[in-house]
Amino acid sequence: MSEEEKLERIMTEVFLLDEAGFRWDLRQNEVATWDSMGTVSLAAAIRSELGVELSLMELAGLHSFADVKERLRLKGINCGN
Amino acid sequence: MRLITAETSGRANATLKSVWEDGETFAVVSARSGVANSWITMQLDGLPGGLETGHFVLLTSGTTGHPKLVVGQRERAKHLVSVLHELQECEPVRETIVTLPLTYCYAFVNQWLWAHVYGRRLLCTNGLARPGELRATLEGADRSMLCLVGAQVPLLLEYFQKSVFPGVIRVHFAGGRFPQEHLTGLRRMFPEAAVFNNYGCAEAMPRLSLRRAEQAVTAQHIGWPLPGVELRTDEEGRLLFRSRYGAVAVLEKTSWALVTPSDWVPTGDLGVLGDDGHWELAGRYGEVFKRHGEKVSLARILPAIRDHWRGEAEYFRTNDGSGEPGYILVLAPEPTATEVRQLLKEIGARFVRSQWPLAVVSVGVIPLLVNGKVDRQQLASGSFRKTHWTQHLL
Repeated sequence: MSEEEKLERIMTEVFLLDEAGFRWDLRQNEVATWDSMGTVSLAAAIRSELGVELSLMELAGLHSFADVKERLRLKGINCGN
Repeated sequence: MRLITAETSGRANATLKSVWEDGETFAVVSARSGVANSWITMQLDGLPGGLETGHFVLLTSGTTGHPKLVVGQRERAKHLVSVLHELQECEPVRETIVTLPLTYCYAFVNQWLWAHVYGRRLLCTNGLARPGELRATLEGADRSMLCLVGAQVPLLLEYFQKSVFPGVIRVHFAGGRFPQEHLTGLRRMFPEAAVFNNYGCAEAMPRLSLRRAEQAVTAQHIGWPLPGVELRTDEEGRLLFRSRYGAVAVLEKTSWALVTPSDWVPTGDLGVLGDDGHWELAGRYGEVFKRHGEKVSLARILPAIRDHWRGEAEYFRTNDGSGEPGYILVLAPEPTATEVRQLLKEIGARFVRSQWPLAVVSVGVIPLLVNGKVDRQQLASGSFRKTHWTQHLL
């Protein structure tokens, strides 16, 4: 499984999304289950499954799935464009 | 003081007749209770003074799942039986069919003691463990009363799908959620029967309230308190009772506590008083808790989950890694991956994250105690669970 596929799986599990409805351009305000605890859960999942630690500042800056992907790319995780 | 352990209801019946007349206080427990006789005997040796005669002792699991002994007074129990005989209109009933252990307070009082006091026949069966035997008994029933727990109904309807048993004229439910959604099937199977929802607990010995099935459309409606019973809730909605028929002493862990007439005793349930004096259950004490400051009511969440799941759904309580209270959702039988995704989607759509399960696991069959209630301790300890989804938590 590629890193991008892993990240997509993490997102769908953390936010209880339908795989068919998943899009990388989804924003936080379009995902009903993405609240503050959801952000914490996302950080925990990324840490345990991708081995990447995200700081509070970094977490605060994540407002879309694309943001998450870009933040991980900057940390050396190749999640595609 | 005598300890009676019984393998089957039939064997318990034979011994109960002689000890009841004897007058000496006795304890009757199932041989398969899992509790050592030596522990029971030790506790009985410490029974408070004045209870050595005229009483009886039963074993229950209690709200914590730990063994608990409850002491009933025989005269109180006989008085309750006469109240129930009238309210449940039992005069036409000639016999009662036993499908639950007689060591269970519900079967002991509603069936064994009732049959003994009113001189009716007691027909002991092994319940759904031997469906052929039960079927034969039901087919031969003549103005019978049947006492069941809700957990037995799915199997009953499956085993005896197209059967009709006109000889059963009273069907009682107690010891768990009233099977409201199965009423149509039950009425088809028992066309001549009046169906009752009985509510109570072992400490009440066991009856607190009663209603006929047609008096309500929700399982939570438990009817009106019996004469001689008072119900109230505390500031947290916990349902408490005082009863002239209830236990006079209770042992939890290792200490005996006498129950006085002025004591309010916890039922283990949450309750709400209705406008016309009826009561409704709002869950079990442990089913309402706070997670991250948000109220979590499993009594509200589980029915919503069950509406979207073809099998059975139960839970057990646990804390997450940071000590925050939560619960694990247990499904039976094993769901497909698609079913898990669908269920999670429904959960996400209906409930905030703090109300989500910590994990979704499955078992082949939900384990039950001998009284038909869910064995949550076994659910929590079972290594046979398969995990389908977990919340990611720091």
